[in-house]
Amino acid sequence: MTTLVLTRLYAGWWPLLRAFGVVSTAIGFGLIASMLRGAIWPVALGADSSAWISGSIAFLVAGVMAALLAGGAWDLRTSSFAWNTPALDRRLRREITVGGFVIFGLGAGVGASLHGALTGESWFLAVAAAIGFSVGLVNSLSRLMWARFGGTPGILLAVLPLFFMSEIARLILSGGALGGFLSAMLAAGLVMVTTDRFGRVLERRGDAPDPSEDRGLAARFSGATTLARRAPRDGADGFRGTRSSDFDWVRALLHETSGLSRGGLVGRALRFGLATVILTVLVRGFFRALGNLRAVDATTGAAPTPETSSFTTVQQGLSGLSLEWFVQPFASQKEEQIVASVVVVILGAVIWNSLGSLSALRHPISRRRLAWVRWLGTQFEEGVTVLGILLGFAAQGFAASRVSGGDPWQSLLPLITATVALFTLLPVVRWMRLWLVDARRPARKLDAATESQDPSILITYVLSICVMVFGIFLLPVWWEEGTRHIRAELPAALRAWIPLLALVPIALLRWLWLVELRRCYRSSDLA
Amino acid sequence: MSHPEHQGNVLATEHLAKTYGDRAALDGVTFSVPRGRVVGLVGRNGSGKTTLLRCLQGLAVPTAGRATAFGVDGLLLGDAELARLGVVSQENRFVPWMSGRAHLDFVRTFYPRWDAARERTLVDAFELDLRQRIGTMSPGAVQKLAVVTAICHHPEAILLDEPAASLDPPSREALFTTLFELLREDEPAILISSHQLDDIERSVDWILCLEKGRVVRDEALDALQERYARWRVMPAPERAGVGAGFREDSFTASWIRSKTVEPNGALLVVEDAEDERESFEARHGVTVDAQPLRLAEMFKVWTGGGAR
Repeated sequence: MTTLVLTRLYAGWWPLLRAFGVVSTAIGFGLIASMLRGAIWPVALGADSSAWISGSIAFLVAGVMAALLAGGAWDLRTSSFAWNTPALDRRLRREITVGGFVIFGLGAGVGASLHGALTGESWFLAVAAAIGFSVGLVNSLSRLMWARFGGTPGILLAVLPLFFMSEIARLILSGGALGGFLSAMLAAGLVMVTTDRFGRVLERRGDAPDPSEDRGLAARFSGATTLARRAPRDGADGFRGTRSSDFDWVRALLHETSGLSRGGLVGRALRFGLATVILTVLVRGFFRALGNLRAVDATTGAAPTPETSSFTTVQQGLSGLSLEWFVQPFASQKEEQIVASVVVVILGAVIWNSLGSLSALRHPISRRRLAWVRWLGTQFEEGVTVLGILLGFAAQGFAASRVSGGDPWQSLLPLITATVALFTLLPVVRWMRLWLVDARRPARKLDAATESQDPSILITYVLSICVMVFGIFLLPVWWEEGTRHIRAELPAALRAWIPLLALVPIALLRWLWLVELRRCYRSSDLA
Repeated sequence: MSHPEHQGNVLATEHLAKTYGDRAALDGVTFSVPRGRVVGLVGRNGSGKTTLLRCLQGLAVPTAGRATAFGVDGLLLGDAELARLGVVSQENRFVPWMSGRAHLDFVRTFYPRWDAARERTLVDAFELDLRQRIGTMSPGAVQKLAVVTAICHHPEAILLDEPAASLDPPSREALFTTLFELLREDEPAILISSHQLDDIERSVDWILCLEKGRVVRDEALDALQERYARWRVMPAPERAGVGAGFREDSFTASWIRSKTVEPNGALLVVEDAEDERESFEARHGVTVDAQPLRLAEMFKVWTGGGAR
């Protein structure tokens, strides 16, 4: 069904990054709508918590699937061969529509298996999936395309049901099989309308004044879009004279790669800092939500008893989403370590994506010097990136300590440890990319614009993620065990060497990266 | 690492071979270009032209043999040698978010001998709008910018890979005029790869033709024009009323490269046949009207004609 679209998801070697993007925006939509709803118009839900939670999951899964399908469709629609592919718009529209109904049907089917066929609860899952799918599709549209989707009414039609999710849930769950069926038919209509509107936007893409605006989901993360926009000072770097020293060359390299990022390395640090804050907030909130969503008796605030847990009892609600969920660290170090690992691995994926945009620097520079300059450039880039991440953590830690008065460093420790582990392992990630991804691509396509559907690229990506996951878990353990051992065995004076030992793996891996770069530039075809 | 055998030759290769997987892009290519020579690099698609240029710049690693510029192996070219090289590649991958002005200001910092006056002259000649971002320029404008980028630092060797592919006729004219002026000023060695054989023919003084990665011609254009000719063969006046009755097998000789035979006339492409003309006329009872052969026609002879 989706062979046309799904193959494109591997293009550009950033499937996980894209998945992260769509997941976080889908979660974000849900959380923001729920928080707004709670703040503006608090209403007890009167819903059974298990039906509500499975409905929420159906919403998220459907939203993510819709966003992935839409992202793939936009990639395909904006590819260079799209103009010459017969009936591409019609085929894409058909696939998106079929995808919508498959997800809707799966929602109903899973609902039936969980809560019994033809019950309000089972239909609620189908409705939640339909709403999630609509939101996911709308999420892939740029602002420019909103008008073509149907303007404000069209967007509201797709998004507003989310805001009234609690009423919809109550109606369906209290309406039984018949009410659920009628609601499900309305939701099916919603899927039809949104897929039809989305298809229209796909077909009218040619009217767009700026193609980069229309790349939808892909455009939000890919470097190519950034490239098309205007740079400060028209892209001038302000260097005068003739470049002679290595640092002059590093500056040129960084200008070609990071200069496009509106503010060069400072901009890069700020962007990573901001991404870190948003990501940590979302991940923390998500893990909290998994454990904390529960039904309570709205009249007493107590957990429901069997007597009060009837679906029709309107005095029940969910324990409310709280702002503290997103900023407060977990009490347990273990949970905080899991959060840190997830956040840092996702940031590692973002860094992986940014590696592809490194400049080829086709100027009069020898291979040997290019290897050295490229190595120096990576040190700057990684240093600044990790600094940005640490700043993001620090800002969040201090914000949390101001809210709750706790010790910020205690909660920051796992995050900082994971970031240091990431910094240590980045050369390995670069090495894997260099040899297993770049080396397999034709020489003339060694730039960021390259798209490949070579499965080895995906495998390499997965391998490097595994290296990071295991490394981020194992390095702190190694460090903790090692230092404890040294403390136990060595006299106090020698313990001063412990911090230096932390630098050994960092220096060793970075030196190996330089050796590999030199070997590569000595013996490989260059772009 | 200069080699005595390369002295006088700015660009050279020795038994150069390059394979991609099991496909040979270059197979034992040996040639040299001295200072001041303009060489037209011709060949069909996939014949190895771009690979050869990449080896000379040190971008591609030879599988066997060596490519040198200024006597230095391509892989060992230092900053100083590379700064004496000017390159226009087929895919001009400039930074698209830079304006044309920012691009030239950026590039000039890499070359100690950047000539701002030449830059202004070329920008005016090509009517380039330097305020435009490269990402929004037309392919032709980017091509012009690439030429400006490649020759403002007074290079001693210039490698041009399809430099006129995206240019309109006036711009092509301007490009080749510029190259001739350069030749007068700096006397660089120029290697132009192009499928525009008419442009090549009026610009170069040497032809290097590749076919399936091998050199099939490496010779001065003048010499080639002397060696090759198109013979228009007609019945001798005394046989005009009788009818010639030419057949496909009427004319066979080792120096005939191609022929088109009709009952009352024939067109022959011949090589090194000037001395054979009188005996040919006498043997076949024909008259021969010899005309110079265009490069495009020679190219068909060398590469076997039709498109691949």
